Amino acid sequence: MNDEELGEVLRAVLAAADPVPQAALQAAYESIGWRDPDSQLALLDSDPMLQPAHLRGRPSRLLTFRTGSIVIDLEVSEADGQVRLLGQLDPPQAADVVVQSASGSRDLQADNQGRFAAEGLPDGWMRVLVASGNAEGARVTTEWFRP
Amino acid sequence: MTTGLEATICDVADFDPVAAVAAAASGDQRAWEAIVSAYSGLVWAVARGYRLPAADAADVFQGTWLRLVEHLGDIRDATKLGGWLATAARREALALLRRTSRSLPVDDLEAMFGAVGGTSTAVEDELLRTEEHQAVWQAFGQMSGNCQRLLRVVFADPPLRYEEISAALDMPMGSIGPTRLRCLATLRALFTQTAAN
Repeated sequence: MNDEELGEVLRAVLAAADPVPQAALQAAYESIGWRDPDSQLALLDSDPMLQPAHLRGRPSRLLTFRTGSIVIDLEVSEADGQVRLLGQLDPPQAADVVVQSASGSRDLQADNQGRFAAEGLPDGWMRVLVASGNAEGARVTTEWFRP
Repeated sequence: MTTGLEATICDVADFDPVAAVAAAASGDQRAWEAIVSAYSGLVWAVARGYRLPAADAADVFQGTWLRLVEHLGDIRDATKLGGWLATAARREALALLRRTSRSLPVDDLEAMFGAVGGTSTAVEDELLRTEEHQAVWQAFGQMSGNCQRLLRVVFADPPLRYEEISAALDMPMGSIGPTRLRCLATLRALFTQTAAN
């Protein structure tokens, strides 16, 4: 076997012994369904590590997402395989908030101070949509993040 | 929704990333499936190259595609899509390693998680039809992490262009050739040894 042949054998071996799992591939094919061109993307601008907020589980993190019009601060913590979000909108405002993930959506409401919270979310990729009631009315979506 | 099978059957050589990204950005499911089919091997190779267990690699895989959907509208040069995906997958893999073992800096993590895979299980052996293939898989598992990572990307399925390999490995194109030669020589030596036993 020359190098080219050995390489081609290895390609076949890797594809057979360690293929992309079918479920992961199917989820990738379906992920185009999350396309949301009409909403503004709020980009993650910091992910500092916080002091452990719980005695058990992983420490919490404060994620800050920004667009021109709004800042979304999220404190994300995870315990026993479930995720808790505490959110703060800046400027503070009442708004409809949706937490989206591959396993479903959770509708929330930010109060007049721009605060919202969700518990018992499944551990996995998620993002937060904010439809503020203000005059601009633009929907803002955070980048996907992983608790 | 189609199953993705048609896209898989599509001739990979006909795949045009520029047209596919433009169509997918306006919601074309078939074009999106063609993109996933063309680069799923690359994204998986990068994730597994960090010695991530299958569940974590699947997490990185999922995050990388979500990231692309999010940024479909602002890919400037879709001819570099493979490089874009490889970089995104690498970033997600390192982020996952940081999340799961927080106190270690990236360099230590890379060293620690250096080598991937290796020991073959009964299931894998069953998937590998011939003794030769089993011996190659076992030999692969005995190689250094750096060689495993490089060879996974160089021999990803479907195959990649050189500049995509370079981006996936974060290595200049000029040093891939010599490293590839060295790693293949190591693989051959280990394979010959395994086959002799």
